[in-house]
Amino acid sequence: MQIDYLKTSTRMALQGHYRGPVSAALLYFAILILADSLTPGQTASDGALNLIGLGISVVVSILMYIFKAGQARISLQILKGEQEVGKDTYYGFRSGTDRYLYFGLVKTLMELVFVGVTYMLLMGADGMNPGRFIMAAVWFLLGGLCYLYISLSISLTLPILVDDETMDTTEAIKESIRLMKGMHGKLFFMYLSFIGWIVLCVMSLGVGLLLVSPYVITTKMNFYLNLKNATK
Amino acid sequence: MPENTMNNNNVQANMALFLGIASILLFMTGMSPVVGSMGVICALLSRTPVMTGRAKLGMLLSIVSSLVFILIMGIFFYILFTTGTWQQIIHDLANVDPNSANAPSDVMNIIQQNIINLYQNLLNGANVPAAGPVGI
Repeated sequence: MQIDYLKTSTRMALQGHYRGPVSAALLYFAILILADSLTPGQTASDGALNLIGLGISVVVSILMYIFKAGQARISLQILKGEQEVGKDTYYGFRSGTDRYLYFGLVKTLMELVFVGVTYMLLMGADGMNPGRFIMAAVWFLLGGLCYLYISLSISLTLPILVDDETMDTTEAIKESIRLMKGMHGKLFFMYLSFIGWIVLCVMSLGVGLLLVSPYVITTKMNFYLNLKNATK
Repeated sequence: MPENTMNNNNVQANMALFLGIASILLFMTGMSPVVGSMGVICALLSRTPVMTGRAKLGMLLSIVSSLVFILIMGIFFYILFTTGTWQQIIHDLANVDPNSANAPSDVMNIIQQNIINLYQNLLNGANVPAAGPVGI
């Protein structure tokens, strides 16, 4: 499975079908920006307010998986050549919402543990010192590698959940781990190959994300479909 | 992957050309790199797997206008730094009272006045830092 082939076939599949994924991406980013702007505590010196802000961020992060499911569903339908259904932006609400929330919880907790431990090691009760910095750097490298490996292992869970409505989250995670055996490097390099696109998105002040994020999501769905067909 | 994939009705290619032209038209507004990068994104997304002539033209216009704008801004900031204007602006900004209701207009006046001073110095052929403190 060549990355170039995946990306080219994804672009070809998306031709003339951008309306659905772009509107789903627009909705996703609009909700994310709105939630972020309403979250208190980002500049507050009040510890309690910061904690409330963190709590809201975590909840929003979990809830956004419902919309991610909608985006993934639209991409899957485009790749399978099925007719686009406008309602699929809200697919996550119609089909086993709890499954996406559960997966969102797992992913968010993973992120929280990794970022939280790094933060605590850097800014402990006795403040910053060289010993702490070395510990934080070691944790960041080793913990980061573990986090990356686990993230890549379970990264196909959402495509599996969207593809098979009968599967529950635990089964989907196990299936993702099974499918991803020996494919971590490939998926990692596929993500890395989008760096140039991200630079262009930054230059366009984020507007480019409306076009690039459906491309990335659909390429990942394409990766999943190819892997699934190859392991049948 | 289908062999014949060149599509003349490619929406992305048309968008790339449109954004390429827009990035040139919006040059003076400072939006060239923003619109231009959108043009490049559209042109690159239009590859199926080859790029149409429209997309190529759009991409060329986008890249040229963005690079020219970045180059001009680079030269502008180079002049700001080497003539001491930048340091003068920072120095003058220290005098602005952040709690004052006029603070935003004061900041704009300082920047504007320092750039006018620099322009006049350059016109007069003076290779000296921009003129002294700006009254606020």
